[in-house]
Amino acid sequence: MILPGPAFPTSMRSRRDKTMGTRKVGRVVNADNALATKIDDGFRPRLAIVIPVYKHSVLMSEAVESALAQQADFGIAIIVVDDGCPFPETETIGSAYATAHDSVFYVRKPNGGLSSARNYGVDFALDLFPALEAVYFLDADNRITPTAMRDVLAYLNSRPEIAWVYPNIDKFGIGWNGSYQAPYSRLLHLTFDNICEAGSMVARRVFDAGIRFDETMKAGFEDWDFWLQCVSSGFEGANYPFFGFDYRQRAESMLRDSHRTKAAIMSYIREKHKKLFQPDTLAQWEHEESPRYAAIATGTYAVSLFTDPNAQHAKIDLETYIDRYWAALAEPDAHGTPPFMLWIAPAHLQALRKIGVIHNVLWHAERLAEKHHLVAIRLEHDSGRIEIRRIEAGAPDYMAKKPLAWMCSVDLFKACVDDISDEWIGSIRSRRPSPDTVELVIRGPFKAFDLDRTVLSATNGLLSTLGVFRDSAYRRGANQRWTWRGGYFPAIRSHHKLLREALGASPVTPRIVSKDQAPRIGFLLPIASFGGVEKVAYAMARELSRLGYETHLYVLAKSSCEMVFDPADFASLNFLMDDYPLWGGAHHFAGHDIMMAQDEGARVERLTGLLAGLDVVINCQVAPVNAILGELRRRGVKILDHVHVLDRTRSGRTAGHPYVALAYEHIYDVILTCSKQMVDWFHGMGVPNAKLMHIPNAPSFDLREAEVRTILRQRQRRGIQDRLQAIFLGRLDSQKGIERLYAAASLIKRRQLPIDIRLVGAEVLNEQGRGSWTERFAGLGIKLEPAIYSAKGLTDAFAEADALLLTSRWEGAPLTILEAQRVGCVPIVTDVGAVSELVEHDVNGLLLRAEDDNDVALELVAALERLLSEPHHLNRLSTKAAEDLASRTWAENLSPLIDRLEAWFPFRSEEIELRRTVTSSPGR
Amino acid sequence: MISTTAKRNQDVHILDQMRRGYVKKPAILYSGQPSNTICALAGDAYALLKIKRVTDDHLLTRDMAGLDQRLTEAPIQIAAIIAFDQGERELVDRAGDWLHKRSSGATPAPQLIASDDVVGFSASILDTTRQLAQRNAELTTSLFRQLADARQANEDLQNRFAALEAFIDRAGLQPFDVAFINPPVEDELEPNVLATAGNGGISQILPVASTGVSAIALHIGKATPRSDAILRATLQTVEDGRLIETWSMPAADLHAGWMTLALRKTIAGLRRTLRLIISVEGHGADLPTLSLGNAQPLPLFRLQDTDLRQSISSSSLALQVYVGLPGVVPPTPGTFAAHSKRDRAEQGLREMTVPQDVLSQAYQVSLDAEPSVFDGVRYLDSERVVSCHPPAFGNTVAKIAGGCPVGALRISANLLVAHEKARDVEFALLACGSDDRVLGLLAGTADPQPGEGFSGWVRVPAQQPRFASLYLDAPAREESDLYLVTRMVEPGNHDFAWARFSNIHALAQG
Repeated sequence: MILPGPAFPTSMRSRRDKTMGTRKVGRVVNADNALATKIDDGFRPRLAIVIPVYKHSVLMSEAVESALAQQADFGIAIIVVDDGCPFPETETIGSAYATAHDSVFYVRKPNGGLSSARNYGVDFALDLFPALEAVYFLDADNRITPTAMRDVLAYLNSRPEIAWVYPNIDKFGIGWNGSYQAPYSRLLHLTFDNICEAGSMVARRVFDAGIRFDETMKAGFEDWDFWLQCVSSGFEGANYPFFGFDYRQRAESMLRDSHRTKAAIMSYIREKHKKLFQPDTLAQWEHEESPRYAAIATGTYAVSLFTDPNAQHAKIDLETYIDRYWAALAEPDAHGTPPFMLWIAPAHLQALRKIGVIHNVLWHAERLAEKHHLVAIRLEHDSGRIEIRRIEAGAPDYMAKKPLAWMCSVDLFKACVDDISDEWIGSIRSRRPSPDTVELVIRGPFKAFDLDRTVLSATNGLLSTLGVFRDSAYRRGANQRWTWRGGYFPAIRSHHKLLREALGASPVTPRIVSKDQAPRIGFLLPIASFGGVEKVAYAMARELSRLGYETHLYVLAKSSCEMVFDPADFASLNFLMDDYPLWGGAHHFAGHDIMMAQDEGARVERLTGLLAGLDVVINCQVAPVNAILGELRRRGVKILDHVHVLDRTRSGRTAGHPYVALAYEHIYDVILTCSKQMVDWFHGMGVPNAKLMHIPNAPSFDLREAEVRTILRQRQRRGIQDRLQAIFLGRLDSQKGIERLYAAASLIKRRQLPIDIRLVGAEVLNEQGRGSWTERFAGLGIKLEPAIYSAKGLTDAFAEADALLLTSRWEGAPLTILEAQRVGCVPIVTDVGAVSELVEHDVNGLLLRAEDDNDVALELVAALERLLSEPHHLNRLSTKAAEDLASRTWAENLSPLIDRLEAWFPFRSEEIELRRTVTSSPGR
Repeated sequence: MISTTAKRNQDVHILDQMRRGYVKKPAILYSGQPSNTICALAGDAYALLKIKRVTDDHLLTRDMAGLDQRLTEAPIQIAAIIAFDQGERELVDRAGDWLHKRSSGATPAPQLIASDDVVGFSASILDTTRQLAQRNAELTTSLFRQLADARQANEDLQNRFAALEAFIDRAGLQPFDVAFINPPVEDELEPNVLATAGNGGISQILPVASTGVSAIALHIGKATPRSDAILRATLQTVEDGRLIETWSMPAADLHAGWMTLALRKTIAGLRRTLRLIISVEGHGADLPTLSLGNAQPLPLFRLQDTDLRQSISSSSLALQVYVGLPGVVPPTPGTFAAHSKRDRAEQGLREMTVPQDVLSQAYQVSLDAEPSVFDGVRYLDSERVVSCHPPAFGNTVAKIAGGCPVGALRISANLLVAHEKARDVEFALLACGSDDRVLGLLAGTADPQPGEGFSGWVRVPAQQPRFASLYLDAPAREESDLYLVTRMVEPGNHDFAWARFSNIHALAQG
């Protein structure tokens, strides 16, 4: 019920009221009994002060008096909302104020909590006063100074980019003064505390956007939730340092009660504002508000401030940076510089960017800069692979060449600035620096031009910067705090730690969402060599990247990768660079050792940090990483497993990644398999069909149709030669059934069959001490040729061969078969694993169904003899194989996965589709 | 037949016999003849009084029962004054004047209402009632305001007395202390900020909260003894725009060195931000130079042009801010009192640094009963600090012979524990003439004698700069020794306790 005071003659108005405008009030009760009030033209307040009252019957008079005492040249409506207070004097006093003062409105409603009372006041004010510009919330036991509203509204209006103004906290009663003067930080507001007091002035557009206090929140922190709603809607606030807000604090209060139940309330807030608490959002804010790195360009000394160097970021001159540095020393809660400093030439930064390792290099350097004084960064050319290597003091090649970049923490830099001697830091010019220095060497296909532009060295850059800082006039000062209020916020330079804590990750990969918002898919590989698992991952990444997805490669057990893929297929390459096991763990599942998140070896924080910012993770057979994927899934990341093969132990027990996948089944949204057989296996083992997706393999590298046609024409022209050309490609090990091949080769030699066997691959060391397969095959006149990795090399090899020999004991769905078939090379292969899904016996290849080694050898030789004797059959098989493979592409095979991705990320997929349409439209 | 005189005498007699009335009910005073409806409306709630006569000293009325009353006091509440007949208007107006003179000013204006105008009558009564309610509400809220003021005053007094009691109960506390120092920096250019500022002068946000501030010292770099200008200093609180104090200072009276602006009393109440504004009155072509401190990285605290609210320097004013207990005024003579001129009879004060060659002679003295073998005292020439590493148990005492100069009133030093891993250390400054006095003064078992001073123990957490001052009760007549003392707050672990005294300086008279 609303009880506005009646009008009284002008002569009886107080002087104060005159300064705040005049009004005449009539009362109208509408049908809902929610009384509407008609205000005459005289009173057009620009500001409403909403004072919710519940059991502060007496102290409310201080709040109202402080509101009445405002020295403003604009109208202020004071709306006292009695939230059904059971104390009769609340109504008595509230009514008295409304009666006595023209600008005071006393309204009473059934008790609904603080949120409800504030909302009631807001709606009342918006309904009655169309010219309202802002609302100020004043709790009944607090006060404001006479100039507060005038100054704060002026400040709000002077900064159109902000939507609310919040005060410092000046508590009386139990006195305390806290400075909230830092630039407003959404990161801080989410991860540290509610940094905006409810006693803030809020611009009308916030309410026009429909934002209100959450009336279900009755146990406190409803104001925190309110600000987070504002943040969600794109609004931002700012502190006004001279606000004039007095906060009454007594030993017990609702706020204190709410701190007792903070965990439960925070849980509610986190759930409600899930999007705000996502790693992407927090990292984006870190980049915008408290960037993690200051990169000082050698040569120009321009300072770039970023978390993600690839995202748009601020650039300042060194002088401005120096100002901020010293301000941050004096008042670290309100001023800040990034916690890490980097001296690097822009060209070198660009070189790292080009090969996709820039984020990973920063991630490693950050971690190392926390353990060591300095991190020296060196770039070296290597056309065949990308590698990140750490070299510590004592290693033979330690500091062998001059670093191209340096990184250190700002704390270390400060120690150097404070140091009166150059001796210690100056030693970084030598190979034996006094500071604890670790070297980070990045090898990759850098262009000479990228590496040569080092006229001005990073070392000089660092030392010169130091000199400038030491010469600064600020250095002579005391670096003391000038703001008399205590610093409550954590140092701005430690905001990256808030991010780490919030994500349970350390360090956090410094990468934020790109502008196009493409879903980001990370492929996790144990190693990145020439194996089928990685080739499938590369092929999938290539296809997804073509479709507009952002793909990232993570290599967890090695810190290098062979360049058998186009670097452009991945937005980034990332190495864990740690002694990370490929297998094992302290727990056991179905005869397999597995690792859990709480195990020391799981490296939860580090891996969570490395994988931060992904929407989808595809685990390509990294067993221990399963331990941390559950945490990512809880944060909304889609987790996929890609399983290729059911291995066997030496005793023949089935084993391997499919079993590990069973152990962690609950964390996987989808399990991808390369065969129908594997789908059946998982289903039989208890995995729902809905979680299983068959992605048939396709050749790992692209060949243009014209190239294929040329090869097939050449094969036709070549016809049947005198000798049959057979080829084996792969490891010379037991899994590949090398004994069977050897037996078959021996038989061929004994029988003097016109068959040439080309053996391409690599011997596996320590293969049960059976001696060298290289030597044994050499005894048969078959020379082992080195492995072929390039697409062209493989194509040429298959093009020259009539048949591919594969005598494996177990397999998944080998890519070799598909790549051979594509160019008409007929596979003669043991019928194991999902091979029969690739080869239709006597149609596009030949299957060896024997199981005994000798029988396999005999069957293989028989198959070869048949092809020798029936050249037209060979030709028919070859032609059919090539035909079948012509339509087998990754684009086609990945379609179920792409459908699922589009279902998960519909908006983003539409964006991708739109982009594809635009970029592929005629005329572009 | 009754003569005129007799008639008058009879009237007087009748008047004398007239009952003196006092009306507590809300009264409706009228003349003429109201309708019965109006009379019924008034009912028992109101006293319906017909005005019969108005004289200087009374009002003669007749109530509904026909009883005449002589009113010498206005009724407590007057609901209406009504003429029901145009011909009675004059009488009613006179009654209104009479009542107005005897009431608090809330008397309703006389009205003319037709004798059967029930609506007009009701409206008149209601309006008066509304005005009454209004007045009561204003009164009520006024009382709330007074009550709130009283509550706040009570809280303030509670805090002030508690501070005083704490001072009385605890030995060694200083009633007056330096809260902040921004020392002047020599600048060859000596920019005269007063000359470059606009008419509003310069303004400086102070780094100390208002509560307890009792004086502010500014540093004059270059005096202008022949200047006619008058500097006007104003101290305001920023959050509420309150004017705290003003000073007028003839430029000719300002001498090079520190100039103290003393407040009439220590600022009390809630803690606010202070802004000091200095402007020039009159034509000041020849203005003294206010010294600036070191470069200021915090934009908010850079010296501003008052009118433009923009920085006019990359530094702050060189200044000292003094705080004192409630009611305490700065002990130093030679200050500018608020609204007064400097007393020329007083001698000046000067802030002086204890010379490096004196500090460099600092050495450790063993005073404990079981002297420690721990060697903790060093003068670090490069940093110009006296390092005084406390032992695990007991005190480390550094003695600086002659460290307390003649005329000293106060010795101050910056304190720092320069390692983040250190535990809290307590620091003390002591001035006395004999080693034998040191332990007693430190323990509080001996009181300072003339020429002696003790700062009290100041607790310093790792890497958090603090400040300590000792005061002598009168200017030192002769040079005495200065002792720098440190001890661990929790004895036992003194690892990394890199305790350092720096910026040791004295306020001396003469």
